[in-house]
Amino acid sequence: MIKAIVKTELAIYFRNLNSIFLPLIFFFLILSVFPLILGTDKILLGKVMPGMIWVTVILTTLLSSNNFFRDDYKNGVIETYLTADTSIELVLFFRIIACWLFTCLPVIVFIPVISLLFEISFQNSVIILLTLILGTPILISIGIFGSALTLGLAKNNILTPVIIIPFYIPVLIFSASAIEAVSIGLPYTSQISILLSLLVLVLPIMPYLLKYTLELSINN
Amino acid sequence: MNISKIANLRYFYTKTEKITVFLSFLSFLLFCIGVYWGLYIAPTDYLQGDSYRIMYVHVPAAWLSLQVYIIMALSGFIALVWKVKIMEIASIQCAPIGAFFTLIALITGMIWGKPTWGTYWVWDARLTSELILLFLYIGIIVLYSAFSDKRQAVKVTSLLAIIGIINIPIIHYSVEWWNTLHQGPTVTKFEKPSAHITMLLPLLYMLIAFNVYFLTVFIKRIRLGIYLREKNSKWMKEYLND
Amino acid sequence: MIEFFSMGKYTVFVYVAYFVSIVILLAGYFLPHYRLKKEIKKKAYEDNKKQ
Repeated sequence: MIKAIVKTELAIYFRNLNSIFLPLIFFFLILSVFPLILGTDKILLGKVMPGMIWVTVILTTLLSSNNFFRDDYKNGVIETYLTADTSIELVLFFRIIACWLFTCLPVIVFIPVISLLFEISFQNSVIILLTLILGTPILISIGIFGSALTLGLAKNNILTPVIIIPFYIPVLIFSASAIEAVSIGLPYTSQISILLSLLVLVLPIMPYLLKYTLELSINN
Repeated sequence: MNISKIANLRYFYTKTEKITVFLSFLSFLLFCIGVYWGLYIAPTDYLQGDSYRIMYVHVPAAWLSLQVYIIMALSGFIALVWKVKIMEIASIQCAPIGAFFTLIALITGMIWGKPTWGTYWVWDARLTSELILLFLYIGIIVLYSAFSDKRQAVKVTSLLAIIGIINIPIIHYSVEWWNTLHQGPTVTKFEKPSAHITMLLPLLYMLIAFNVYFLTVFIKRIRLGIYLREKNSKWMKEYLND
Repeated sequence: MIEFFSMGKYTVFVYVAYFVSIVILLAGYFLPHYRLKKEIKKKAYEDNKKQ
């Protein structure tokens, strides 16, 4: 059963290779804008780039999880979700994981390369990596929730990001606080543990919340 | 009197016409007294001089911004679960009211911050989470207006409001959890209040005045919502014709 | 009357803060007030046009 779900998800993503490469390219594009603006001052870049990496990750996850349910809504897949007799929460859970795998994992894999490019110190890049691994699943889940909320809307403009970013801000605050603590030399375990508890809280609940939201949004 | 009759839209609309007039005058009166009390009668602070008087609008506005959000989330919850029509109207009408209160709290906080701390804004926990509250309110208003089917809109915005309620304890306890610039709790400390009673009393009075104002605007907005929903119904036409 | 403005250097801050909050509170009251009147008038006009 699980094998079948995983196979379907991988097939969906591999069929359209755009969905794998575009988030990564978008991430690099936005990230390269910052040194263009800030100039070549290495010290300034070293201080500012960890935060900018996080901002770019937020933009990337926002834009790639925005249209998660859009095609499904158009094709009527949502109704089959809700009338199926299998546990749809499991399918949604694996869909969230798959979305994370194909949009955030490439970014995370490239972080060592980026930290070499911008001369971010080793401890900083380790903490960036850790906060990203803990934080991006949360961001993806919340973004998918936003997509489920705005399911019925025809004009998909900038509405979903506007609604979702207030929920991103706590994750951003704790990650930035952890990165800052490491760069000063203070302990960072409290922020990491809060991020971990957020992840453990959000990720299991999200499939159930998504099912409820889909029922709400589809009911005409 | 059967309390559940209030949930009946027609009963609410017809019976509250006179009450709104009375409540408007009452809140205006309470405000005049409160502003005079806060600006003139309350004594000058030893440390902060007279700038602390901004507290008399800042603190009630901030308190009410949280309270209104809780009311919005609660009525949204009742609307989602029990599908009570008046709660659907009440829930979404709380959003602009709460947004205005949050705006007042933020702006007066900035104005108060300049003489007290030397800066208009600092990214500490309480200010940032209050700003997030404003964004939540705006998000709810924008999400509601994006739907053309308003029954559907209420369902979705109620869910958003309920999910966003996690922000409320963050705002309230942020001054205890994080060591920040904002002062600690003064009103709810029961052992030994750190502010003098002559300064505390007008604050409590202004809280009551703000709440009466909220009640007035809340009822007015619910009446507006009922009218927009029921304007083609028979009872509304009959009621407006006399 | 002059005592009202004897707050030292804080006068401007305090009065601007109170002014802004009162303006926003009044706006919050009159928005639904006039919106309801406008909606009722609009409906009456449309009903008249139909007849």
